[in-house]
Amino acid sequence: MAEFDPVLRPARRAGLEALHAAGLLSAPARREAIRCIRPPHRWWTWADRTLLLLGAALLLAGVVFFFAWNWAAMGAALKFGLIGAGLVACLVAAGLVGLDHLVGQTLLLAASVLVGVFLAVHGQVYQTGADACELFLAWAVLILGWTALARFAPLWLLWLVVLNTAVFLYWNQVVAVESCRFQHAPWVILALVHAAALAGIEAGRRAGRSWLAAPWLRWLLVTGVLAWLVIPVAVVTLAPEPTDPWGGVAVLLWLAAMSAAGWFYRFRAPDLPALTLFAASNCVVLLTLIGRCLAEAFEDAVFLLLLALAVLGIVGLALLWLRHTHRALAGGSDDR
Amino acid sequence: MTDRDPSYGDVLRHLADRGLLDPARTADLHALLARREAAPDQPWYVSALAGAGAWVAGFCLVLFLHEVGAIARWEAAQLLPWGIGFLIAATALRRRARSVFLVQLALAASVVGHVLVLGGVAELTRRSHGHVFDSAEPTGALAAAAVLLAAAHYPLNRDPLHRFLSVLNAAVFVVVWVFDARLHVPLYLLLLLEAAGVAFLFTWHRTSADLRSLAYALATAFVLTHVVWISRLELGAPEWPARIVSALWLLWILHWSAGGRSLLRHEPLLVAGAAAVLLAVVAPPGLLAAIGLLVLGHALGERVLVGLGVVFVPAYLIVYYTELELGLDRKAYLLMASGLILLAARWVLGRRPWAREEEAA
Repeated sequence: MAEFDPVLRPARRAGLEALHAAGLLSAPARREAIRCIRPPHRWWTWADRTLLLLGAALLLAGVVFFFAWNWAAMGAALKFGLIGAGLVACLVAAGLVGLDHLVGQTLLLAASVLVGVFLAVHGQVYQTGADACELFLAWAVLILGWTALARFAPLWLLWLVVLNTAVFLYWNQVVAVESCRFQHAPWVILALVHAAALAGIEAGRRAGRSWLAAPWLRWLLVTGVLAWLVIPVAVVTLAPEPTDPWGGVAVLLWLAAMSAAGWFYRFRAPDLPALTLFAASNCVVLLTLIGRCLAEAFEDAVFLLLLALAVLGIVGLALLWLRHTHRALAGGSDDR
Repeated sequence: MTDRDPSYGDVLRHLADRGLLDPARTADLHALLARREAAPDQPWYVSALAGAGAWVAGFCLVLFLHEVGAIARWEAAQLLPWGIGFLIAATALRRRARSVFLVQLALAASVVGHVLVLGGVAELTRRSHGHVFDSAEPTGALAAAAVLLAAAHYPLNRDPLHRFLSVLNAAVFVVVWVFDARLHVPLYLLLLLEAAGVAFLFTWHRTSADLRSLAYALATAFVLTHVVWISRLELGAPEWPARIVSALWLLWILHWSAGGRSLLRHEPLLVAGAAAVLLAVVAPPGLLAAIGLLVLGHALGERVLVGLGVVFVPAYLIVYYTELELGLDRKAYLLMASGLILLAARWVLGRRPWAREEEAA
C-alpha cells in the first residue's frame, strides 16, 4: 500500500544518518539532506515558539508559587498592586503587540493566569469563606471575553480547565456533601461542555480557522467527552439508581457520542487517535457490563477466568478494528 | 509548525537536483530504507490500549490462580515456578502467534509471569529481612530480579510492547530501590545511564528497530526518575552532579541537532549552549531533561518524544509545588529565573540578523 512505501514516508534524521553510515550519502549530501528536513527557518520558528511558551509557562508558574507562599511581610496592598500592575501591563502589551501575534496571545494567557492569582490572593487576604468553586467560576467568567477574542487554542484550554474545576468542585464540595450519594449530573454537564467545545472546534476547522487545527486540542476534548460520560455509564451499569434521571441521560448521551464520534472520525474527518479513544471507551463500558453479568452468574474463580478472557477478546476485537482502520486510512498522517 | 515533513523521496530528489546523489546507488538507497523504515505494526496509542488490556487481563489471571489455590499461600515455592512457567509460555506463544488475540494472550501471560516472579522474590526476601519495604535490601533484590527479567526477556521476546513494558518495569523497581535505600551515588549513576542511553540510542545511526523499545523505555524512566526525585528532596542528595549530567546531556543534544562539530561555532548554537549552562545553574534538573527531550524529539521528527517532554513539564511542576522540603519562595525564584533565561535567549536570538532573514524566508 502506498502509505508503507518507505520512500513516501516522512524523512527522519536517523534514516539519513544510516544512509550516510552505509556510504550511500556523501558528507555534503548528508549535510544538505539534514538541512532539507529541518531547514534553519523551521528550527527558528520552532525555537521561537518553544522558548516563548516554555519561558512564559515557567515565569507564570514562579509567580503562582510566589503568591501561594503568602509572604506575611508583604502587605495586602503591595500584593494586589503587584498583581494588578502585572495584569494591566500584560493587557496593554497584548493590545500593543496585537492578538494576531503569538507574543500578544501569550501575554493575554499570562493576564488570564494573573486574574486567577488575583482572586486567590483576594481569598487569602479577606478570608471570605467562599467555596473554592466560586473562585474558579468567577475566574472563568472574568476571562471569557478576551478568551473569545484571542483566537488562541491554549487560552481556550486554560478556560476549559478552569470551568471543569469549578463544576467539579461545586458538586464535590456543595451538592455531594448534601446528598451523600453518587451524582451523575456533574459528569454529564462536564461532558456536555466538552462536547460543545468539540463541536465548535470541528465547525471552526471546517470553516478554515487555522488556530483550531492543532490535533492535540481535538484529542483532549474527545478524551474529555468520553471520560466524563464513561464514569456515570459504568456506575449505572454496576448499580442502577432509578431515582436519578441523570444516569439515563448519561447512557443516552454516551450512545449518541459513540455513534457520532465513530462516524465522524472514521468517515468525515479520519483521525485514528480519536478512534482509539472511542474504542477504549467502548471497551470499558462493554467490559463493565460483561463483568457484572459474569459476577452474577458465576463463582469467583470462574468469574475471574471468564473476565480475563472477555478482556482479551474485547480489547483484541478493538485492536483488530483499529489496525484495519489504520491500513484503510492509507495516505493519512504519519502515526509513528 | 504547520508544514509537513518532506518524504525520503522529496529529500532524494532534492539531492539529485543538486548533483549530490549517485544515480547508480538508487536501488541500494531504496533497499536500505525499506529495511529501516518498515511500517509500524500499530501506532503507539493503539499499543497503549493493547498494554492496558493485557494488564487488566493479567491481574484477573493472577487473582484466578489465587482463587483456584495454585498460589493460595503466596509463597516463593509456588510463585516462582508458576511465574517462570508463565514467562516461558508467553515467550513461546509470542514467537508463534500471528492472531491479535494470541498476541494479547501472550502479553497477559507475560504480565502474570512478571507479577509472580517478582512476588516470589519479594516473598523470599521478606522471610530473611522482615517486611519487604522495611529495609533497602528487599527492594534491591526486587530491582535486581526485575533487571534480570528484562535482560533475559528482551532478546527472547521480539514484541516491542513486551520489551518496552519489561524494561520500564525494571527501571521503576531500580528507581524505587535507589530512593528507598537513600543512595546518592547510584541515583547519579542511574541518571547518567538513562541520559547517556537516551542520547546514544536515539542519535546513533546504527541503532536498529530492535532497540527502539529500549530507547523509549529509558526516556520514560529518565523523566520518572526526575519526578520521583523532586518528590523526595528530603533524601538530601546534592543537586549539582545531576545539574552537570543534565547540562552535558542538553549540550550534546544541541550539538548533535545542529549537525555536528562543523556547525558548533554557529551563533544560534552558542546562544543555546549559554542558555543551557545558565539553566543548569538555576533550573531544577528535570526542566533540562524536558528541554532536551523537546529538542531531540523535534530534531528526529519523533512526536512521541516531544509529547513526553510536553506532558512532563506540568507533571514535574505540580510535584515540585507539592514537595515540602524546599520553600515555595525559593522554588518561585528558581522558576522565574529559568523562565527569564529562556525568554532572554529568545530575545537575543530574535535580534540577530539571520533570524530576520529566516523569518522572511
